[in-house]
Amino acid sequence: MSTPSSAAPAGGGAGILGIETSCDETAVAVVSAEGEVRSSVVSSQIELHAAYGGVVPEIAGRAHLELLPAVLARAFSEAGLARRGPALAAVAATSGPGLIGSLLVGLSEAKALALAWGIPFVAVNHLEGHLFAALLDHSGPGRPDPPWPLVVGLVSGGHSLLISMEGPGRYRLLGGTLDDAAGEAFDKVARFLGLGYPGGPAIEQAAAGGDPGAFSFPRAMLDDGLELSFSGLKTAVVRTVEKNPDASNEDVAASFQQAVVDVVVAKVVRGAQAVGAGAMCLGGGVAANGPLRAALGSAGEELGIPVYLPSRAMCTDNASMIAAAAWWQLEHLGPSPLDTAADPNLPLRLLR
Amino acid sequence: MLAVESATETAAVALADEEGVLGSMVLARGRRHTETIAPSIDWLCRRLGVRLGDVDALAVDVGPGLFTGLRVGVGTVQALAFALDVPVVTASSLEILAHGVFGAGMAAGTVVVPVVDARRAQVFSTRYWEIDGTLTEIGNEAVWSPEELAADLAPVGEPLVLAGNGALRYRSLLEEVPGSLLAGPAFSSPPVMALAELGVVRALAGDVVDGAAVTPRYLRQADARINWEQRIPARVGRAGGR
Ligand SMILES: [Zn+2]
Repeated sequence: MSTPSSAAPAGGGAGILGIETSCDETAVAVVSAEGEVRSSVVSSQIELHAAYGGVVPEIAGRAHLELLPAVLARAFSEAGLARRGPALAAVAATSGPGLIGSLLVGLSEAKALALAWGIPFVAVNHLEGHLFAALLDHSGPGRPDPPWPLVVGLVSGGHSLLISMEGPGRYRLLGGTLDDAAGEAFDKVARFLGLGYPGGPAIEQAAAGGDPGAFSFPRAMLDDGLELSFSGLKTAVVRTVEKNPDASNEDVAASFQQAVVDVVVAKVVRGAQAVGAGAMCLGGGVAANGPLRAALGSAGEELGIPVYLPSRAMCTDNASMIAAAAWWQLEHLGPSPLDTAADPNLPLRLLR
Repeated sequence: MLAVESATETAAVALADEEGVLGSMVLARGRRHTETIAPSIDWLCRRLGVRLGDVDALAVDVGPGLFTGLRVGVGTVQALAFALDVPVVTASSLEILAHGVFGAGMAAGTVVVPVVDARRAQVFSTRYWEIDGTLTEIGNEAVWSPEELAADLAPVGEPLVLAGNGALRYRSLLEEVPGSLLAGPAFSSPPVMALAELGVVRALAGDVVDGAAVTPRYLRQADARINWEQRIPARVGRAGGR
């Protein structure tokens, strides 16, 4: 398969346009080669799905198609780009993992834009986007390399992975969850407590008024290995509330949150020590959690390992991280073919 | 004029101008539309020596049909319209089928019944009739069970031409309808050349819309299924501190 060949001016102020539609956020961003975010627009569908307590695939697919034109137009005008012949080096989109009916909207539109402008197309793995989110403020092509390897705790509603980044495209899996993802545990506990959806912000808000030591919930494999597990914790919360019907939601939420924070920080630190990491990072929606950010920050200070945290806006799904990952990919691996498939189970390419 | 059609398993694109169709690319089993449409446009433009930048209008089949296929086609055209800054002509899959059949020639007074498979034992359909040389819709696009459709067509009493993948799928049932004739597999999917021709006529007449306003005609509510089971019960007895 051939790709559009007319090369756009590399660097020289050109940006990469990123599109992200893998789940329930419709996002478009323009990021320069230096890692500068020129525009980043995210339109959330949370309200569309809130009534169902989770993302409804067919509703998400329809909403992406409806929202994308306005999101694209806004990202474009905020970045000061012209519709005909814009100063772009490439158009990138998430090709997976995610909901198939949602992925193909962003992917199809990105290919068409690249084709129309005669510039390269880059298909990005959504997880790779999360891995690069922490680097947006710290590094980028044209800036000094980050202190590889970086150990990243990627904690979201769909994933809980501990990854060692040895360089762009060079990732080693250190550990993952054996059952629920961290964000999934937040969502399920929030729903159980009647705190609403999405669970992360709801739990954090309730926890702010509670005692994190009120209940001692299990911290699975805290002192052992690099794997994670959250399903026992979720069950323990349900049992504890059944036994203590008078327990306040605030105390339960705070104690639950503390258990997650303790486990995630312990695993990231252990992973970093195991590979001699130059820095520790977080990524994914759960990385927006205040107590988690604070706890990893102080652990890093104590151990003398730098900690890179994506801004809160870069933790949840966005297109800046897709464009940032695309810059690295374009530089190291080149463009992607126009027949690239949307893959709901796209794996992260891993080193063995 | 660049036309994009992806309402069924077929993925098709065509280029046309005032004098007619320049060329088309039809992948009858192109079901993975995301993988085939952009390369097809690229290939067709190269073979015909047409620069995308010189295209001054787009046409798209907005359905009804396969939801994912429609989203790829409509998404592609939305993006092309944005990047090329050109207007869009929309046409329904049933309308395109009817025009395709009409263009192939048929006896006066014939009713054309386009039938697109809607899955789950349903079809999308409507009716067209030639009035003074122009094709006019004499019904409304709707979702039918094949049995209901056959029963509804039975008393029409005029010669009927049924076309589309829905007609082929339920042919044993629909062939029973008195006076009915089935269009062959060439009319399984909405013919992209008919869309391109329709597109040129409408663009010249100014019958265009902004790309951002184009949405698929689903004709069916979204299936509200959640991708996880609600395994743990809600806390009962206490009002949650929100
Ligand atoms: Zn994500």
